[in-house]
Amino acid sequence: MNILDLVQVKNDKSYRQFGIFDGMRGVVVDKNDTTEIDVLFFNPAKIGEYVVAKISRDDLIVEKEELPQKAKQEILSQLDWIIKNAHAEFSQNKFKAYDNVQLVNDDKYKQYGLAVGDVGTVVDDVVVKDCVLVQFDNAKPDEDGFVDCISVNINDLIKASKIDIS
Amino acid sequence: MAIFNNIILAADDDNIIYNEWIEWNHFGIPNKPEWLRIILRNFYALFGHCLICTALDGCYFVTRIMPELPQHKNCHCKKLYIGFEKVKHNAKAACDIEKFTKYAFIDSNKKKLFNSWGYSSVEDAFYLQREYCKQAISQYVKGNYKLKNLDNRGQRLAIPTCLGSKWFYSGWMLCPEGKLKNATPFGGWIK
Repeated sequence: MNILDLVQVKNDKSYRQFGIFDGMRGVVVDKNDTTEIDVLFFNPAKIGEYVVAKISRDDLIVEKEELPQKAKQEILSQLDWIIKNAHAEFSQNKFKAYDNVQLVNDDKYKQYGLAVGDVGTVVDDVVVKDCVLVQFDNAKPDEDGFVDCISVNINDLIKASKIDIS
Repeated sequence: MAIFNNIILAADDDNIIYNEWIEWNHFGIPNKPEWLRIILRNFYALFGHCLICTALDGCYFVTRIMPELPQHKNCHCKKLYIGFEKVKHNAKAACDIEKFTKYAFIDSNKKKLFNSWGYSSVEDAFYLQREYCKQAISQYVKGNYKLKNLDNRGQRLAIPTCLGSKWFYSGWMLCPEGKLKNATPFGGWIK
């Protein structure tokens, strides 16, 4: 196994505390010794968040795919920084798909015709740059009469009960 | 003869529209497998690459309806011209059943609408799932879509959808290689 090899975990029992599950893919970032290897895993529910976990060599399969050469060079040049900034474990998302959420800060969303108290529905589970995708039925339609879902910062939302939308 | 491959009957009024297709290309991100694409998008996000551009990578557009290129200063993205056959072959649509069972049939405003059309059961949800996907692909490959919000998650499209005799827009996330993922079952009436 070599540094920056792409690997797949084939046993999740020992790694659940990190949020690492069977079948998850990661990148080898160090070779500690012959039995355990440092592997970087990205949080599937939050773009950019990652952990570096020690995984037993016996619990890893090396994938046939490789990172592109240019990406390898870029990662290697910043590997120390990457490892230093790893999270200890994956954080839990505040919201999941189909949660009803209420806007508590409308500063960035007035342009969509939204105000504090408006209730929408989270469209998917993934958080990108601290934002979730939300559909607000009462948002201002565009020139085509279309109301698109918008990215909303998780700190501008609280969970709303179903009663709030009726 | 290849030039004729891109001519598509796009409109109900029998107008012929020339669709020239491109694939958005940001260097260093393969379209497949998806897990590798996600790993690379994450690394590039750490290194400060534009998340909008890495989300657009691999997406197919007709040249008359595509996001602005370049997206920003020092944008290295390119458009690669592709044939209609490739789009037609690869385009697929996915719509979670929960879009109906946990949203359209639950949310107070949408519930009224879908119930008034006679849709409320799980069986209806499965029918709508199939119908939405079929119609979304059909409209998209004709170039019948409108660009909507573009952000770090990617490009949303409004696609004309018809249930009964009612025409409206449904909202979709455009993913690489012509993959469409439903975001919202009802985005508004077509004017």
